[in-house]
Amino acid sequence: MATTGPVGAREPDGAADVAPASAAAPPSSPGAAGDGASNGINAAPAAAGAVQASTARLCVACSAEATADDTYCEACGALLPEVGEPTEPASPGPAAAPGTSTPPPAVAARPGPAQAAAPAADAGGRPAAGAQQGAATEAGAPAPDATADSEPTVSLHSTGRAAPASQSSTVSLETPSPAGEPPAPAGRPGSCPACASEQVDDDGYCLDCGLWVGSSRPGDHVEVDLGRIAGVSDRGLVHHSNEDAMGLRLVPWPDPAVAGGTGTAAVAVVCDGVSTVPGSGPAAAVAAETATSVLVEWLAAARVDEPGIPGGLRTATDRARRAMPTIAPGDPAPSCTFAAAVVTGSDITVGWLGDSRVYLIGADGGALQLTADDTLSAEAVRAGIIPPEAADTAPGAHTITRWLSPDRDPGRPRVAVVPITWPGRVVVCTDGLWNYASGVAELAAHVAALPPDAPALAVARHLTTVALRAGGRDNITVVVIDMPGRG
Amino acid sequence: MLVFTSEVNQNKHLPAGGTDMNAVITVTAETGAPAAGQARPAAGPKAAPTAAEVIILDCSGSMGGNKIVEARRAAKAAIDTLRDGVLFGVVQGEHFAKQIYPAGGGLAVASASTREAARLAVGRMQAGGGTAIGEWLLLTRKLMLSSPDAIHHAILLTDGQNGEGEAVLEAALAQCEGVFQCDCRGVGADWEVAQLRKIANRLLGDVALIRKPAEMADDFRAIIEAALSRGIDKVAIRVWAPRGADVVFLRQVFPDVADLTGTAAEVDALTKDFPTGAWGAEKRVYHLCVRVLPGPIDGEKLAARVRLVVDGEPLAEAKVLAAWTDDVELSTQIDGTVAHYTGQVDLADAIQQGLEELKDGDPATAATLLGKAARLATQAGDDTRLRLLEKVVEIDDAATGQVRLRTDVNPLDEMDLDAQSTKTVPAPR
Repeated sequence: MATTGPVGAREPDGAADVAPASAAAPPSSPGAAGDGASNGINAAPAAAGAVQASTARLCVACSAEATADDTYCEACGALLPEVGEPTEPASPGPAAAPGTSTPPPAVAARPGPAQAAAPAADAGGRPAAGAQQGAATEAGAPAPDATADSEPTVSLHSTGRAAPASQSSTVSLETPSPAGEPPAPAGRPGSCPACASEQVDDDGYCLDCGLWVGSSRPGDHVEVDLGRIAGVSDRGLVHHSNEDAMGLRLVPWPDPAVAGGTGTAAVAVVCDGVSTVPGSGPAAAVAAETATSVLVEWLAAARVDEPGIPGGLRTATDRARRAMPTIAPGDPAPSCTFAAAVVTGSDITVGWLGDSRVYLIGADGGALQLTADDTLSAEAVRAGIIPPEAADTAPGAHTITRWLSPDRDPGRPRVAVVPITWPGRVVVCTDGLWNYASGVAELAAHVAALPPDAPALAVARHLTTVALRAGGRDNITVVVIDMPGRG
Repeated sequence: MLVFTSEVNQNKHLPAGGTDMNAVITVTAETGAPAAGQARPAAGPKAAPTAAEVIILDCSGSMGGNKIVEARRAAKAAIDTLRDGVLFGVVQGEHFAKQIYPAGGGLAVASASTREAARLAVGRMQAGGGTAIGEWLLLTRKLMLSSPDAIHHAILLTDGQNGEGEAVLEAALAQCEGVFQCDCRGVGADWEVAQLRKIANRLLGDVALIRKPAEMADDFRAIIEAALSRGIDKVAIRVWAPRGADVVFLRQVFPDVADLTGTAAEVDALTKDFPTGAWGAEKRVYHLCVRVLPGPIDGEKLAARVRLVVDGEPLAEAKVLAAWTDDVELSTQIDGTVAHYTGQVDLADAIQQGLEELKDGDPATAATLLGKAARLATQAGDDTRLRLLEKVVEIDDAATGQVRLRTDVNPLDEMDLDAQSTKTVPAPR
């Protein structure tokens, strides 16, 4: 489940300090306002219908999951629906080029097309724009076939359960799938995983067996690929909408290890809208976009020898909080978690509120969780009340104690700075992923299932697929950053 | 132009393995322009259909004396209510059926002269002979079919029990279903409520007791006015349920109780149409129970799609969902609206069964059932039925259903209670 917390965990005075009207003002930070709907986001043509047939194949009789190779259900023995043909690539090839000229968007996963697209229109994010050129040459290694005027690789799939395995011209997924990697899409778009009917109504209900197989809203599956940083946000298999959001950018940053001194810093922000408060999905989108833009600005203005990124994180959450929409005074304000990572040449700085996490996965298989959940159960562990191994499954595991919301002042994130000592990857994710891979070792093992040189997008897709295959009970958002020196 | 909107009340949560989903669908037809995205206008460019009205008067021997005098007066009042252009006819019922107006088959077009001619014909009606309601209905059907495009409605007035066998009446009803709607009125204490209720249910009408013959004229006028106000005919409720699912029942629960389950016509393997007759600006409420194959925990299914259709064109759609959860708090809640109408139907059943037991000489069971009815009526704030109940039983404690049978009950009060047992009250907002 998504973070169900704030209402219950709120302090009694929560309702009293409802944000003033100014807090409801649209985000004024650079790049947050929509000045164009389509920049940067390359919405894949959405075939009618949906959706989740591709990765989850369910037994008609008992609803157990099955793989594409199974003919009969492993759980009850019933004959499984036939596996459909693989879908067309979800992103049209020519438009999909590695992180190139246009400023990369912070993609808000959840809202409709307009809202999802608005954050992408980041004409104001000039520093980032400049950075991208450099990033493309420096970090766009996987498939540098970019043409100068091509759009960045952002595919916004609405039919794309196929996406995790679909091909894009930017990223080679030709490498053989390791064991456990889901097979090619197990159904045509719009087909029902339970009865294989190909007819699904506009709201996502199968016209034969009635199963809700998912709608085809924009934001159901979003991918952003900037080369060394890439993110995937997916609605999952149960929720009707994606209330997660993410923002990711590359910013020019001197890298002492690179000749000529140019390099990039990577910014990743993930927000998980609180499911118990209406409007939290769009609020999470605003928060992620605002925080990302603020961090980009901060880095552009920062001194390299003393960037003060923790201060930037606090500014980012403060501005994000004020940019978030409010509802009626007295009602609980839309809320979300916050997890951010800023990776420079020398350090990883993380900040968080709630139960979204940042992990460090070493190239050697070592791994660390860089954040410490703000949840009731995590607090209980820290207080010695319950054992650490119970933290992720205890009753309060998803009741967050701190979060980002306009009526909670200040929403100060906790911050940690970790020097980079070995190559590897940073994973920023919502609980939609870690519910199914909560231990660091488990998560590292999933990453290790891919080739060591797998690009960031491939890792993000793979981890998303892991969560989908395990049930996808919540929205899933994963941003992966390759760290300097990887490989 | 009528615009239909529908609304669903349900608790979509079922426990693991749960199969039965109950939902209440409230359908409102309003005059006006369709709101954007809400529902489409009904009959497109077609001209509004003409109304066809047939008045069926029981002229059996028992109607002699004051009753036939008042029946003639009521029929004349009904004829006077007919607007110019409305098609109409009058059927005289005995052990056979006789068309007394217009002469020579078919229906007349209402005008000053045809109304006057009909009044004269009605004035000559005399009581004599037996009661053969099936025959009367079949003649009415024939008249209606002479103008197939009209909205067909009949009033049936009787004072006695049908002299035909069950099968004969049943066969006639089967032929008349879907051809015309019929409101039934009983006068005096010799007719059988259950029998007329059955006829009314099958022909999508209602049933009521006319206590005093003098009340007939006003009642007839009201019935005709209501019938003429209905602008869209042959509205059906189309229920789609997923493969493997069954419609356990579909019943109208407001403004009165009528079980539609058995009336379904199959549209395709997953879809059935339940006829609801003609509609004016009004609100009707339906209770649907669907039995679906259980889905996975946290999975969600469309348990039914409910549409109103006219000529196959959907006017309003409502979705009934089913979502499986292991959260007992969610799955054990009963939706308030569903609970209300379930109680209203239980109330109707308790009254009818209680009166049945009273007739069959089991006063203890009758008191228990009527006590339950008093409790349910009190809970629902259903003053009309509570007042009718009070004429049959003395209510000691409505909250617990403690009642005593009255010893000196007017049989008309019992019949009135029986006839009105199915008139429900709407759920509180």
